[in-house]
Amino acid sequence: MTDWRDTMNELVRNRERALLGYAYVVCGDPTQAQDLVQDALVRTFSKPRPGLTAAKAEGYVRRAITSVYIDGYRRSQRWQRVQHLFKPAETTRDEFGQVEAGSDVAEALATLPPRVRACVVLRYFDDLTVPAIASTLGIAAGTVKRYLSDGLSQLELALGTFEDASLRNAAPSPAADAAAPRSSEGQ
Amino acid sequence: MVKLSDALRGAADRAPLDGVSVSTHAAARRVSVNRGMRGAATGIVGVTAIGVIAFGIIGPNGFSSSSDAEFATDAAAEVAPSQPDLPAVAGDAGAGAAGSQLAWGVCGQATDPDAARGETGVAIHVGSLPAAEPGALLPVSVTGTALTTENLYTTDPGALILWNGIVVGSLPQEAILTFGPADEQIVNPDVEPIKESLTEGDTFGYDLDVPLQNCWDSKDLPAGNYELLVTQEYFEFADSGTANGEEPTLDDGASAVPGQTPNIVGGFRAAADAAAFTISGTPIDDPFGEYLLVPAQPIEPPIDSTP
Repeated sequence: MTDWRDTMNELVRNRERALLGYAYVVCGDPTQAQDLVQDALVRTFSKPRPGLTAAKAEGYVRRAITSVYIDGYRRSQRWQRVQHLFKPAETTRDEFGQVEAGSDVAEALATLPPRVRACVVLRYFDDLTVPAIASTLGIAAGTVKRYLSDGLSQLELALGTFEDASLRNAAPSPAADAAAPRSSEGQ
Repeated sequence: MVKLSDALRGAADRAPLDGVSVSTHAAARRVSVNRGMRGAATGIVGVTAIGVIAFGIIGPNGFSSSSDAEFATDAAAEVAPSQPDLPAVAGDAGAGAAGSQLAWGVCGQATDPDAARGETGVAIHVGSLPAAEPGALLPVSVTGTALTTENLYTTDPGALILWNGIVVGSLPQEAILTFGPADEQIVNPDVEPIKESLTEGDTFGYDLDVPLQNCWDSKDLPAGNYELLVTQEYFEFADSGTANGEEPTLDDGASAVPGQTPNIVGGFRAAADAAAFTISGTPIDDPFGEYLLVPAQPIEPPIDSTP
């Protein structure tokens, strides 16, 4: 058995639930979370990375989960641009949904558009800085700030004011920067 | 007042994931295929870009639409992820490229070394190769001669290992071009292009260590006779200062800025003659039979006599 297989098995054996939970927060659907983790593992381990440990691999896989999720969204957007040529257009869910006060955070997240949700998760789950999020998702830092602001406003409608909401405009944290693995996934 | 970070982590902990699991077996098989295809995928992207660009910009037909390159590369790049969870089957890899010559150099595919060549500004040559032990690195000295005077960008050469003309191993050349988040073509930020300021007649050299491993699952190539086909792609960039409608210039200032959209004005792939080499040991019968599966015979559709 090759090293990368050992690393992958160790990672999944020890961190499967955490990775699936993270993917669920990103996408809001258990089945899609399963696919995201699977695709993220494939994406991470398809590139030879000498010396990659399971701990380091987890960082890559987490970044790949958001990348795969956004890539899938982009592909669906490309399809949506031409699907009217093949069938009547369906309503695209790229608008903020309705949120009822007191709803669960998962339900509230589900009302956010994919890119906004990804930004919120990367900022508040992974503690990434705005520049790191921009790099990971391949969008401008200003766009990230706007998504975070919009997303937080929407979430606060449902869940109330967040104690850490002031972080939306916080300066980048050196610790978070250091912790953020450099995204080298194909985007 | 709650912290959003805590709420998110709580949501992850409470995620309804009963019965949901990750199959490392399936993932590992896809990784194996992709690693085998990696050379091919990189090659496809690079070859697609260089092929279309070279033939489009400096080729005989003279078309220069970058959208063709983007379309072809996009299509080719999406071949690899769509590979089934099966060992790479001869014919699989190139199928996504619609049987065009863009599928050149795919793992498990027969490859015509002559097809590697475009109209080049550089000639490269590989000297005689030593016999090698299984699993060793094959040392290769590549020498090049400039056939033109240009400032060109490249990376270390890549190589294909051929067995009976079929690609069974590869050392991919790092791709100078890749695609950005908006699917735009950019200079690959993960590589450091080599700028060659060439004057016709200049000679230069590269040393490669080619791993003698197959391109499916990275197992050591078995004993036998093989050929090594070394190729190297070159790009010519112009200054991008055309905001005022000025023509791009080709002076020394033209550069490849990582992560930026390059102003490509030319490119080609140089290919050396295939060089024979031997992996020592006792050859085995049908060394790649388990990889080079014969596709099932196509089923003839029934003849429908109705008009």
